[in-house]
Order: sequence, then C-alpha cells, then structure tokens
Amino acid sequence: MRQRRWLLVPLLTLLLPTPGFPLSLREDEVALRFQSVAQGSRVILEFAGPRPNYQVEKEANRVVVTLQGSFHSIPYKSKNFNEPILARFKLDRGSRQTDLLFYTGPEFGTVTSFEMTAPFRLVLEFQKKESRAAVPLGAGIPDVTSRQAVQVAPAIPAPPAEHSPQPPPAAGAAGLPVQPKAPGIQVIVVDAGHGGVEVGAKGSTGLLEKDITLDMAKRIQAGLTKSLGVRVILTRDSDKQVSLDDRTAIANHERADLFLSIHVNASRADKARGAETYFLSYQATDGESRALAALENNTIGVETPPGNSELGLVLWDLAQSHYLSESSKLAETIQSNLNDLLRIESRGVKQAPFKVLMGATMPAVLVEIGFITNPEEEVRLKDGDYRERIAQAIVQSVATFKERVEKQQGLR
Amino acid sequence: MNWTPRIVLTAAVGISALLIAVAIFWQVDIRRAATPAPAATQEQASSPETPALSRNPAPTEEGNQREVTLFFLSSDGEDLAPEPRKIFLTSSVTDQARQVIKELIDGPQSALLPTLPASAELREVYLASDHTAYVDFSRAFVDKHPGGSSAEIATVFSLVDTLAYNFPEIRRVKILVEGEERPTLKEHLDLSRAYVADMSLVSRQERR
Repeated sequence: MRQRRWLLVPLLTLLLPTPGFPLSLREDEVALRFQSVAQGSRVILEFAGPRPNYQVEKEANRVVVTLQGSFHSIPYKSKNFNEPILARFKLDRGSRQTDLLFYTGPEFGTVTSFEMTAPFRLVLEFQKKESRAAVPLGAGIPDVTSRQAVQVAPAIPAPPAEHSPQPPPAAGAAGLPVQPKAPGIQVIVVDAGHGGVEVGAKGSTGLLEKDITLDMAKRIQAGLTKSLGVRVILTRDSDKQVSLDDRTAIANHERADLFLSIHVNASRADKARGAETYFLSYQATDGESRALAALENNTIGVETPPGNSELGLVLWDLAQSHYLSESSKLAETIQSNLNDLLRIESRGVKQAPFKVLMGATMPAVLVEIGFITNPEEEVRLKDGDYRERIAQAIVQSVATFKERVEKQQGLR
Repeated sequence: MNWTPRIVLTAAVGISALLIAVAIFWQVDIRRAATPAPAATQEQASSPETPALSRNPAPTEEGNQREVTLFFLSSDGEDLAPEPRKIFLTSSVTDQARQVIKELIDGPQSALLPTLPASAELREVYLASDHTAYVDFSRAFVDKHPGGSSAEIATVFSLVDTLAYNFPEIRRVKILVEGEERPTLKEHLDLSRAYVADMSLVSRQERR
C-alpha cells in the first residue's frame, strides 16, 4: 500500500499541469481577465463549460453581460479600475441569471464583443470615443474627489491621450500644461497622514498617528511659510478622513512644486526606531508584472492591434515616474537632516510603491518621523518641543532643496 | 480498565483524526486543490490527541512532506529572515501555498516576529495561468494590522517572498480581502497591483 502511494503522488503530480484558471475553473464560474489595449480596455470572460447563453447590452453608464445561469466570477466579485474608459466591475448573481456589470468612464465610446473557443471565451473590447473634441480641455474646477486629476508627465514619450486619464486641470490635448508652473519652488503641499476613522498606527499608551501627523503638518506649514515665504497647503487641517487619491489630486490641482506626506511608523519589532524617508518605487512591481503578463498571456490568440501599449497604462499609473530623481534627492536631504537630529544612522532613504505618492506630478516624498511602536520614541513624540525640532529639520531640508533647484534653474 | 464514555470519546476522536490524516495522503485532487485538506489540518492542530501529526510526523510520512522556507520579521525589525518549516507534499501548488500561508499566519517558532495578523484567515488561493497567485484574506488581515510603512512592507513582502521563493510556479502575488481588491493595506502600499518578490528585504545569512 505504502509503495503504491509513493508512486501515485509524484506520478499524478507530473500528469497535472500547474493549476490555473483553465484547469481549476468550475462550470459555475467565469474567470475574468483584464488587459489594456491601444484604444481602451479588453475584458476576457473564460468559461469551463460549453458556450453559455448570454447577451451584451450597452446602457447609459454601463455595459451589462447577462449570462443564463448562476455564475461566480473569479478572482474578483468586484474591481475598481478608476480608468477613463472602464471604471468598475461588479457581479450581480441571481439563481437563474447572472449580470456582469461593467461601469464605464467618461471617455468610453463603444463596446464590441467576439467569441473564442476551446475553452469558450467571450472577449469584450471597450473602446474610447472616436473624437477627443467632446472632451473639455482644461475646463473648470477639477473634481478632486477623483484620482483622474493626475497627469502623465509631458516628458514621457507616451502617445497623447492613449491611456491618459480624463484631462487634468489646465492640460492641453497633448498633455502639455497650458500654463506652465512658475519656476522655482513656490507652492508646497503638506499631507498629514491618515485622519478621521483612519487612525493610522497606535502607540502602546494609545497615542494615535493621525494626531501626531496633523500637529506635524501644521508645524511644518508654519515653518515653511515663515522661513521660505512659500505658499503651503495642507491636505487636511482637522481630524477628518481624506482619501489618498484626493491628497494627490489637491497637490496636482494646486500645481504644487513639492508634496510632503508626513507619517509615523509602526513595526512588530518594538526595538525599531528612527526616521525613514520614502519615495516611490515602481520597478519590479506593476510595470514588470503587466509587461510579463502581456508576454506570457497568449491565450487570447488574436493579434494585438498596432500601437498596443502596455507601457501606456504603466505610465499612467506612474505619473510620479518623471519626478523620481528629484524625489530621491529631496528624500536624501530630509533623511540626512533627520539622522543628524536623531543621531540614528541605521535607517535611511527607502523606496516603496505607496499609493499616496503614485499620482503626484511633482517631487513627492513620505516621511516617517519615528516609530510609535517603540516605547521610547512614543514618549518623545508626545513632546511638542521634540516635534518642533523634527519639523524644523524638515523645513531646513526643504530650504536646502529649494535653493539647489533654483540654482539649477538659474534663478539664484 | 474503566471504559468511561470520556475515554471512548477521546479514542474515537483520535482514530478519526488519524483516518483523516491518512485520507489526506491518499487524496489526489484534480479540482482546486483539496478542499478537505485545510479543514483536516485545522482539525489536527486543534485536536490534542494528535499533535504528532501536525508538527512531528512519523518517519513513514516523511516522503509526503517537503521543507519550505518562511520569511518573518527579524527581531530588530530591520529585515526579513528565513525559518524552515515542513508542509505536506500535496499534489497541487495552490494547496501547498495554502499550507505555507497558514504557517505564516500562525507565526514564527523562533525569535523572529510575525508579519501577518494572527487572527487573519486565509479564504482562498488561486493561481492564474500567468503565474499570478491571488491570495484572498478575511477582513482581519486589514483590521488587525498595526499600520505603518514598515509593518505594511513586512507583511506584503513576507508573503510575496515566501510564496515566490518556495513555488517557482508563483511569480507574482496579488492580495485580495474578502474576495475584493483593495486600494491599499492601511493607506500605504498599493494593493491594486500584483507584487513580485523583493529578496533585497531578506537579511543576508552572513549577517546573522
């Protein structure tokens, strides 16, 4: 018996290909895959069983795929895209009928569908409007509640408007600012991390990150206004919840020259201490994975349209990418001043894919001023004088950075 | 010998746990990786009669196990550090991944520190044909998370590095919560993307 078992397991393991959607898909499931294509988004619905009865209907703000029968969708029951053509997906499953709801965005024009077999797949192509004339350019006050107020950096050689969001404020069709920013560093947005129900990290004595960050943001605002004479805007000036997209959108709308997000760190290691300064990382995450997925994903079997640009979408996600070099210099300046102040050498500048930095179209950093989970640091963070010293170190760093930038621009 | 109902009950529970364990080794699941297996594993863990099965398998079971490397947080919080573990060599990658993630949730057995909330539950693991593993957690994964950049990075990369290191089939990991995508974990790391491993966060062996 044991002999047989020994043989069986590896043998059957060999026979089974790696389980993926096609293998593990049940008859009552539909697998969803999303791809970005030249003029829009492609959705592939894959089924385990035979061709289901379905219909595709275009409604006012959505496209509905109605399947006869009860289907679960995997891996998503819902998904937010926040993209100008395809905004959101949601499943509405009934016992006899299942609706797959695809909410469209402002740039959506048409949807086309076609079938592929073995396994059965229904492919939907969401295309953008033919003409961009219908889209107002640089009009009005931007909607800061949407993340769309983000602009792909002009220097990036992306085809205009391919995957770019709905036009950001004061942006022309080619993605160039209508009114270029004033030179130098005049406007700074200071972002107090978390707020409202999002309390952030907690200290062992109950100190809340959101309270420290708000106090810090106000101190930094006062310091910058006083010593540099710049305009400083806070993303929140009270204990309220502000979405991450809104925080970046405020900075983009104000055409800020710098974005500073102030946070307090947490770790399971209560020994962890010191400040850290982050700027955005993008490599080896989405860009690479999407590009890889596109290369590997030959299941679609149709020729991709010319100009199909996975890159476009990657760049749209990475409005910040153009500013990474400046962001890293700002981060180094801040970190070196904080290390001098705190006399801690071990921590330094780091990179991470933080959401709040992603859409910012200016140099942007996130400063973790200390660990609320370290009992000693928690005590120090409660001290206003200590917080003031950290605020002054950050103000001094910005002054150094501003001077350097303005020298480079020939303003000094 | 006094055959009280309690002893009979204990014996019955012990025997059924053993039977379930045997059933796991026999089971070769073709569909979505052995749904009974995780249930059986939980039963072993919570059943005092059979502690030997879950942690110290009998020699005859050795052939059905493999060693894996889990990455937890180092005690100084500076980086991730490895800890070996044995899991059952079940036929599907998703089932093995499930076992590994449950070990991550259960936390380290050494001086290392946990990276995932202990009360988080693993709901499901899917492996897509593009080598992306979708790991779906319960709400506690977010609600019981301490927040903070360092803790978020430790959580996400402990999971991603562990899966990618042990399973060549898994090249990217996408985290879902209650079946849905989240914009972030606790307002820091972007969770709308799939992550590839970042082994630079793992401490060098020479340093320990």
